[in-house]
Amino acid sequence: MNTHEQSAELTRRDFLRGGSLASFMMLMGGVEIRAEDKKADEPTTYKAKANPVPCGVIGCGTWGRELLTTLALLENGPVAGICDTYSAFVRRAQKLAPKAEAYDDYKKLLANEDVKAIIVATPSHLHREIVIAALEAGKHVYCEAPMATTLEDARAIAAAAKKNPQSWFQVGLQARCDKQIRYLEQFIRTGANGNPVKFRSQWNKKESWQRTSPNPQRQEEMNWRLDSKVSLGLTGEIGVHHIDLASWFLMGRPIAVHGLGSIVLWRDGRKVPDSVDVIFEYPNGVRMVFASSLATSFDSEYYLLHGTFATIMGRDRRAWMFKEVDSPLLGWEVYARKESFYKETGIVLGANATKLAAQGDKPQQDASVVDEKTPLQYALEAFLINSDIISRGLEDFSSLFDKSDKAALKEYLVGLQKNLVPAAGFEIGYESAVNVIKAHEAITKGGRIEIDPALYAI
Amino acid sequence: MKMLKSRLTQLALSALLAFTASIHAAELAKHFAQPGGSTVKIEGTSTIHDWTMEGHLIGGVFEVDPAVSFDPAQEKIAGANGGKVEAKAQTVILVRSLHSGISPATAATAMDGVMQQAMNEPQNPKITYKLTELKVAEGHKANAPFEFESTGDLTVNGVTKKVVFPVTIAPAGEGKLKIEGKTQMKMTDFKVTPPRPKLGLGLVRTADEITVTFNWLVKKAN
Repeated sequence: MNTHEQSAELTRRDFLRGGSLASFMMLMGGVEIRAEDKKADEPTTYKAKANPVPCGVIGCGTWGRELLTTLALLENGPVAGICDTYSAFVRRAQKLAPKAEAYDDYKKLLANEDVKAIIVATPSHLHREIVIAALEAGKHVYCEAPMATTLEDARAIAAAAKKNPQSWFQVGLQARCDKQIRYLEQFIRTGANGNPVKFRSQWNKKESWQRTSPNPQRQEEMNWRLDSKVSLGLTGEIGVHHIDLASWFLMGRPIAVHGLGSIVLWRDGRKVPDSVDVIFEYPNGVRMVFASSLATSFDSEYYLLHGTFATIMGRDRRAWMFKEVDSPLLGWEVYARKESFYKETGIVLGANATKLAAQGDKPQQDASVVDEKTPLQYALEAFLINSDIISRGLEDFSSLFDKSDKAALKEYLVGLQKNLVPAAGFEIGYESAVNVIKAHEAITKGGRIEIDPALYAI
Repeated sequence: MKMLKSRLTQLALSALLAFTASIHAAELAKHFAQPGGSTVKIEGTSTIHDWTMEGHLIGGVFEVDPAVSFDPAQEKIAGANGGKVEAKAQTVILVRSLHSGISPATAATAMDGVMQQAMNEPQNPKITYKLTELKVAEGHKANAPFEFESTGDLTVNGVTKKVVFPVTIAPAGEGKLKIEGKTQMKMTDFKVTPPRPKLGLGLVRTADEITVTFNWLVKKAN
């Protein structure tokens, strides 16, 4: 009993400091159960290890290699295959996955039965063919965002994912798996920031995006982001993460979009804008503004969720709450850590405040290391665990029943989804793709583009 | 002579018929587990909060005397002899198919993983139940499913124990039967140590007592 009271005391102090979910759970109160003997007071160590899910990575460019580096940190994500049409990339990737088998043809990688999951990091307009082939080959698929660059492609991918419930399909919208962002989302649901007013986000980085190669064919291939025939530009490649965050936090879908794009710096003959400003109209007069430029780096990347009682700012996986003068007092804020930004004072919102408590009486300690795990690591962990749960569900079903009973199997696998680690599945992936494709349409055609709700149906 | 021969044939034939008839009377009607429509729930509590593990795969076969009818509209069960229904059953539940619905943050701390380790899942992946006796319960309420007392051998974590608990059985259309039951037991009865994971800042102690509720859908083989 003493241990229980002590731990309750510690959590109250900790809760007031930073309000973590774990401490909140402890405060929900315990249930008296019969006292056990002293020996039983020791915790049991759980040696459970995640089952390995051998992966194949298709697309070994910069991001593909980032995926390989992250997979190398995960003991349950052995890389069994790597594939790229460009041999220099395959060679570089091989250094990051020495045991993987190298392929130049994705079909040959898909034929490798040891590979259970496929990660697609090819140029966005090339996702469709590879993803659908992987799903039909019975592999689990992690498809980078944006899922596709045309409505037709996005719809085809979503339909294939829906048709193949024995494959776990996840889109590379990492924020959906990021512990820090999930904590923030739960905080927003408490309504502490009031009703939504608007959502604003930006992404600035002064860089050309232009890559060079002595081989002209290779040069064209590697500059797909600047090819107006296939690329959604900043809106699709960067904006997709922002629009997904907005829709997630606002719990809604945009009804229309406006957009403007121009070239202000990189006048090298490109037609893809280097600066875009996109406005999504949400219901109830709420708008989401996305501003992005390759011509300036100032203030890098952040998002602001303005609410009637407070504004929440997110930067680099950290978040602060800026309260309005007329908003109600939240008891715990008196003890919370605060940081100043010019004239505004923000209350720090952070998961893992328990870690600070564990460090001792140093709540003001520098929390520059927000989380050792990157969002990509969270996303890949989720992908591997979910793939494994679905695989084992299929095995369990097959050992007791006839797996050719497709309807019953599908019902069972879909029922398993509530046991999965939260992640962006095909519905979320499709929705975000529709939004950025429409935004890109607004930029290229001009005017107000309405987004028909029927478009979101798969 | 001819008459005697045909009489003998007649007797032989009728004896043969009676013999085969008695074999058929002993043959039970097999009802196979259906892939959907079954649920098993294990409910317990702990120092933090109540918990539930749920599974939707119950495999196996239920065999019953074909003369028995489970129609709830009956006053008494047709085909029951001396308060018992002739029945056998073998049921299988895969430990791995039981899920807590709490999504795993990491494999090691996930509740599902904790329970699987506590139940020594790699060595004992199955929970099996073998029905040995099905007794009709007294007092049937009009149009309610018939109640029985089910006696059988339950094997969990490699430990087999005789268990007795109440069940109801009712037709579910198209040759199907719905078998439902609820019972209490202790984890330690099967040498399963109630898990004590360290979560967050505290030690979570799971209670020994659990309630098992199941409904099993089976269908008569053609």
